[in-house]
Amino acid sequence: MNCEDFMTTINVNRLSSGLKLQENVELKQHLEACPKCQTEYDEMLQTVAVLESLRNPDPPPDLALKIQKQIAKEHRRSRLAFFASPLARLLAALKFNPHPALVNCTAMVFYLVLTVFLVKLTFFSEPDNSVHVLSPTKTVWRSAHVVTTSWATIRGIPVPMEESEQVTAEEMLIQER
Amino acid sequence: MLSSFFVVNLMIPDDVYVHKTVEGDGSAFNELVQRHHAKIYGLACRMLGNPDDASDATQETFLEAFKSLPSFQFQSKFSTWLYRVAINTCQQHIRKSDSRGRTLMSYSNCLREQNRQYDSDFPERMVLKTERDGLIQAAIDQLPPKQRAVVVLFYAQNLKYREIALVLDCSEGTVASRLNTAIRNLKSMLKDL
Repeated sequence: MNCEDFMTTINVNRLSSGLKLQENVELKQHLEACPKCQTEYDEMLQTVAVLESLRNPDPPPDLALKIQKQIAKEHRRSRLAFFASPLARLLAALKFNPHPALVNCTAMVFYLVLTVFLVKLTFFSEPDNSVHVLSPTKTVWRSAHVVTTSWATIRGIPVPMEESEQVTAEEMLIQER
Repeated sequence: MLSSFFVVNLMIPDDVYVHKTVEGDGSAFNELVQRHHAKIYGLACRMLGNPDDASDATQETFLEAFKSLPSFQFQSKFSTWLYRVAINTCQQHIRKSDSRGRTLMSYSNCLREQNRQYDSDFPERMVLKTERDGLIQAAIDQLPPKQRAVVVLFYAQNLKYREIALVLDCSEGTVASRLNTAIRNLKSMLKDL
């Protein structure tokens, strides 16, 4: 066994688990014959002993409480978010647990599409005659149109020609404004 | 009566509390915090070498774990998964923080405070232990993050190779190799201790 073989065979697990070299005669013989490897081995043993003496520092006494408060805050927020996102609620009910980022992205796309649809419906939809006939404004205009004829009536009451002309004039003023 | 409650409480596995938390019981997570915060703080302290950063990293770890708990698949122990979250958080801190410059002094201050209560009768011993721990920490801080994680998990957290491999998502051979390299790197720095 040469020095390179020795160093690859010696590993930290062997040093740390207390196996040392007793069980391997070949390693032991090389160590006795090679002062360089003996020094290297002793230094590694010493380093391992120093590291094994490491102890964890104690946490600050109020750390757990701080974390618990933060978690309670986050829990409240997540419950609000849960109500705000029906998609996440649906996925949770189906026991389908995708990554939160995926849920957030899907919810965002869902709300974006919904917003575009609502905006289009509200501001960019074509006027529909059947709807406008039912609206009060157009009803007025219908009455304004019909007053030009001698047989026009409003709500079934006959309208004299003079009165219907006055109404028409008022309506025209409103239109101009 | 009270002691029997605590004994029963400790016997309940983490997974029960994880299930309860995922089902919406926010208070169940408090028990997990109580069980694991000291270990995670210890890990963060050794990884970052600074008690203030370690406190922040511990809080971030639990917050991240709480948010990501629905994605926990129960393929490993909860503690292993939590260690993984903690290591990732610490590595993010290392990347963005400039704390490494003030590591030794802050860590020594922290240890001095802690040792005061144990060694008040032996001030010389307190100073020696503080300096020794500070030097070990300074040496660990010199390691690259991957080697540092292996050293801290193996020596400070007493995890086995298999558990470290699960935490770091690598093979046991890689863990052994990193540990050997780390020991060789630390050897010269810790020679005089």
